[in-house]
Amino acid sequence: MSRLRPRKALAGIAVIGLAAALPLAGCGGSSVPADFTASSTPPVGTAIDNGPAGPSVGDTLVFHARVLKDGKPFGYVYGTKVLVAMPGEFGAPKGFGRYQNQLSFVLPDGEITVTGTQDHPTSGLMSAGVPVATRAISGGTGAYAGVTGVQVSTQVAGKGRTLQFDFAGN
Amino acid sequence: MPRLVVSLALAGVALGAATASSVAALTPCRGCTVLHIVLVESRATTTNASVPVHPGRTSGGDLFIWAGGKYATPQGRLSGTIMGFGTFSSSKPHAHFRGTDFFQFDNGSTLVTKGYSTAVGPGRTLPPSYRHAIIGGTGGFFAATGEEVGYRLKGGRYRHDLTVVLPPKTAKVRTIRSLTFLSVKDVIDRSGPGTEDVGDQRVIVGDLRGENGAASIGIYYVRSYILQLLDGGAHQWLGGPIAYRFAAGGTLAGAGAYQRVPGSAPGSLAPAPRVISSGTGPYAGYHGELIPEDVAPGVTFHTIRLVKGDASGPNERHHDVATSSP
Repeated sequence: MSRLRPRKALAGIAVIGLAAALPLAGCGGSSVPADFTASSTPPVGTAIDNGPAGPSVGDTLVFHARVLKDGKPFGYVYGTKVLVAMPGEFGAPKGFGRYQNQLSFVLPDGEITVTGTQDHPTSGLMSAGVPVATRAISGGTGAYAGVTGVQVSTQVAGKGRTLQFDFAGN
Repeated sequence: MPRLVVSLALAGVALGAATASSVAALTPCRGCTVLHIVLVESRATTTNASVPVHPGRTSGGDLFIWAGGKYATPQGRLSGTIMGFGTFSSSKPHAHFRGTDFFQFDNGSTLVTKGYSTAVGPGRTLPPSYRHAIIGGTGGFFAATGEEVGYRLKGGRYRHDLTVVLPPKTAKVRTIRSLTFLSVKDVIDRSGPGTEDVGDQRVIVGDLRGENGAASIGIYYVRSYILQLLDGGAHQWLGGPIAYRFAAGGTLAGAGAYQRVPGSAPGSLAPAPRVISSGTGPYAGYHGELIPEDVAPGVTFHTIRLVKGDASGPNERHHDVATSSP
């Protein structure tokens, strides 16, 4: 990774647009993507033990997993979860740390950005069948540009998860 | 996006196609306003910091931070500063990079974009263009959604083509006011021992109370990285995600950048609005902005303004906003 030096020549850059207001009255048709359910394989990640050794605020897990739909490859999820409250403290229930999560689901027709909090053991997995997290869909690209909504992940046997995407407007 | 190793040959090739598909992807609601904005960086970022998990080699979890870039529209009607951070989630066979950009406009408005890209090679070269989701905005970009396509230019600069969708001006705005008592702060020193530096992380938890400061209504979490140090370290810019968990159920999530001067008196800094990108439970589908105001050491008054609706769906949602508490 390298740093780059800013160049002095600034003017004369070819650009193709400018700020322009374009009210689109009458576009009544819905293009909200259909809600769907997928699944993910067990995540592969890097645990970063920030701060004191052992679980502590700031500990980070950076991970990715394959996303499947109807049993077939459908993309990947890339995410980061950071411990923001120790078990039993500052809103986290006993036995569960509270994590702040950022996820990107990279799918064939675009990307879905998900963010939110999650209560999860600081080591080990959730019990199967238990919703792991209910998080907010904060945006997207491609077919998912402009979406909001809710994404629910549920732990299943075998360490994978089911992923439910509910888009606002449906 | 970070300013990584540059290969410029493909930038022009990717430019036209990506722009066209970006605009076509959005079918905005009736009454929404669509802005096509091109921001060209006149100055590349001056802060470009790599914070590796393992010094001397690349690995998943490495953090990259950038700040200090200056941008403007071609006619100069909009201008501002860009900063952000990103994380590599794996190193083999490709480095997957997830980045967040904070656009701080000189007129006080903000936009936040977030997204993914693939970096290849030992130098982790990013592709010549990338696509981000606009997860929200404040001020003139209140409750924005949409999409950004970024293009790498010469000299480490970037061009940002933004398709910004704003809610109808008639959309009802729902407001939540809360006194927030910041109860804990953890500083995670990722930049190495010593004084606070770019890359260090702060985790702050706050007790949300009602407008009169009495009953607790939830908890507020803010996690941020130091993005830039100015004035010899006395003045900092930080940025990262925020989250609300309400006792009555539901969550709100957002992000933004803010400035901090250690030891400054409450109210002495310019307000730093943050984006509210979305929520769950009673807040599902809502988005808007947070306007914090320091009222005493460790106490902040939060004004959260929300509208409900999606940028690409039926507009009726924008006109059907509950005004009572969830």
